Amino acid sequence: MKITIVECKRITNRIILFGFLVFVLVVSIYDSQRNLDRYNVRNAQGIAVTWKDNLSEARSDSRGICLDKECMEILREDADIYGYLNGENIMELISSNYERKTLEELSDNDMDRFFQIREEMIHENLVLDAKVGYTNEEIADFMDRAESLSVLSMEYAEGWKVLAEKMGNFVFLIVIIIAVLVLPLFGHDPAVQMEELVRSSRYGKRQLDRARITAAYLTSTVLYVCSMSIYFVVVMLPFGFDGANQPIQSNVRTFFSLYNITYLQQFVWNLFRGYVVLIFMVSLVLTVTILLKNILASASVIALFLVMLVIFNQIYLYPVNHWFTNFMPVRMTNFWHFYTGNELYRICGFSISCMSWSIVVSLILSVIFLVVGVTALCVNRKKGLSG
Amino acid sequence: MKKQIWMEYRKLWNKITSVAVSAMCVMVVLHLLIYLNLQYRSIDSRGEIVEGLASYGALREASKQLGGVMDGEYIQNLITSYNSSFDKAYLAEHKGFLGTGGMTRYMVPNYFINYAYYGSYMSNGNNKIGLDYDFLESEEMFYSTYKETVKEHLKDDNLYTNMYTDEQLLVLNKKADNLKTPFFTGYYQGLANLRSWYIMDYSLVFFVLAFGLAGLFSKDNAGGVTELTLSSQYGRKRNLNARWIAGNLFIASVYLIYLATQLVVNGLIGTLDGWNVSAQMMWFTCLYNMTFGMGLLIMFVGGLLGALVVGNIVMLLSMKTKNMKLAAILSVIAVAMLTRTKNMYSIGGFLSPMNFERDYLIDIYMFIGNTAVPYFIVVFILTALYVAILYIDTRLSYKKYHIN
Repeated sequence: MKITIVECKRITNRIILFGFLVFVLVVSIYDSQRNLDRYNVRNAQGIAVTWKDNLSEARSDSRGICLDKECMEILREDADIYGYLNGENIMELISSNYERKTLEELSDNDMDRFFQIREEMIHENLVLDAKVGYTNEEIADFMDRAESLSVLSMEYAEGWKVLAEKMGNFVFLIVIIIAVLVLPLFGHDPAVQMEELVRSSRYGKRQLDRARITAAYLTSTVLYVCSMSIYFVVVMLPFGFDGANQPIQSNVRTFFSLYNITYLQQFVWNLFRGYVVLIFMVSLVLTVTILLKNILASASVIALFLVMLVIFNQIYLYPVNHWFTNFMPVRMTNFWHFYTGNELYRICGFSISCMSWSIVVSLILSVIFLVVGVTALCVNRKKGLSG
Repeated sequence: MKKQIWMEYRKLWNKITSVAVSAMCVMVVLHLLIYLNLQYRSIDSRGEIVEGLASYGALREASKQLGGVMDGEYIQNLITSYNSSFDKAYLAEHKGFLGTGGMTRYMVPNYFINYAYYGSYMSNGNNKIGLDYDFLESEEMFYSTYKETVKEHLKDDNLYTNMYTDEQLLVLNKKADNLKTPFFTGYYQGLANLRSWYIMDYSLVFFVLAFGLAGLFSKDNAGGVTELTLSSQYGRKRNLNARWIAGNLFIASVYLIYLATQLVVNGLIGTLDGWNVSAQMMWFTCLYNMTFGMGLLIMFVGGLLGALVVGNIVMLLSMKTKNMKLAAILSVIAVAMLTRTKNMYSIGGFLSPMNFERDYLIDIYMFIGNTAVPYFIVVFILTALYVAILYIDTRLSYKKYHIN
């Protein structure tokens, strides 16, 4: 355990830890500031309504709102009745559900059939999707989930919406930084002549390797939890924590989602998915550094791999995404498509959602990387070389 | 001096750079093979659909009769050939074919003709490949329609970008009028892929440079600056120049390896036929009388200039930090920030070395008063300026270089 602690300290000494936390804080505040700026209502003279007023009005006016025929009729009579922000949110959902029609263009029948129209659109998209080619059972299962949404609460949940939108980029950034911090564990610095010492110990080598691997996962976990906690608090604080139990369908980006979950559950899913990405990256970094033994050579491979994933992500090609990039860090932290893509994997006769399968595959790959790394360490030890 | 440069250059080819360059080549090859294999399919000369990498050979074979000077006779033959072709019937039935990676031998000439009709609204797709246009009655009518469309397109674009004044637009219109017609057309799919993938993967070169040159002036690197390097009065200065020149040679080498990989793989898949096709077949608004091949060469030279600027930024960071790892981290951050300027259609974007390899080189002009200066000339001047500033700063920092 002592060695593990020493190795943990090697990754994050006081200065690095302090620098990391300051960086997280600065990025979180910057992100938060940019988010809030979007809630300032501007006119020709400048800011007409500040984010503070805008949000507090939205919070007080949204109590008990449900998007149904009555709500739409009231809104048609008086566009300002629910306040600016709530009105905008409702209008966005209406436009999305009725194929860009405005509230004024809707008939009574249209309003009555709000949820049926949503279901019909979901059904149409599933049937027309030639790439996945859903079976009747799969469509029926999806439709059951679509039909279970019959009431849509539109209460205030702006903080959670913003968090869901911005979290992916932050997670990706943090994962890269943590991966960089883990690099020196097995990567040798030619300027530090510790090789001979490590090589000369009889029983210490195995213990040291084990301690280093444990330290990598332990430190990464602690840093991830700390950074996400800071980000969560800094981003959510100005918005307030209200709306955690609201359905994610009240956000226009996940309106057609077939996951009937709340914003809090969505956040936990995203947090977990981010953690899986972290485990994957740490395993990859450990393996590459064990194999290449050089910090910068390993860093260059990791960097080029990530750049390639970003380039892959710019062109949508179903087989590549389906069989490769869905399990890789860039697309894994691009959370939206998991909620709205309805992508399926057929494994041993079961239809498994991309949301679950990507996590399973990513974890399996992490284990494979780790096994390869540990095997390489064992081989090196037998040859009399250090990690 | 030559020997010293050679020694410094050799030192740069260490484990880090070898791994980084190999990784870059592997990524480029994989990106090309995977996407070109999975994304494309074509109609061959017998009217069959060929999928995957073989589709390029089939398309080239089918396109053989369609190469040539696009004069009046060619256009009439093209109309007859297209109207009685299997391709036309197939495209009428399969509406999404061309928009989803499908290819037909008629793409190059027909798209060009359709541009004359659609102008700034031109895009790829089945609905923009037909030849039912009155202006195709004669060669003169077609090319005058084309030139008017180009002028209209420039004017439309300028409404959004505000890059040119009315007088400057007139200068460009005159250039459009001076285009030498008829144009030359033919198969160029391999080169078109080369252009696309060259642009897409270009940022990989920057990342390799970030890692490869970070240790050039560091003191914690085996081949970096040491007490010995700094101890002689004349050697110190010569060593800076030798390292700087070796660094620039290294930049050129990495870039050429990248380019060679693109050329070889694209050449093997789609062949490099089509160098002599008129540039307008690819860049509809190009105002130069040149071939597609010449356009690509300009882009390749632009790419080298962009790499030189980025490489010099990395060398400066290496000199300033004197620490290999820190220089690598800062360089990667600098490169990541630069990549965000990609596709930026503004003065900021045009100044960024990230865009020195792009189509802007072929279809953008900058103006001094009412004198049009091609953007590729601006890129040359900008590169000279950037590199000079970076070199001077590197030199000044070297004067104050101490080991402890």
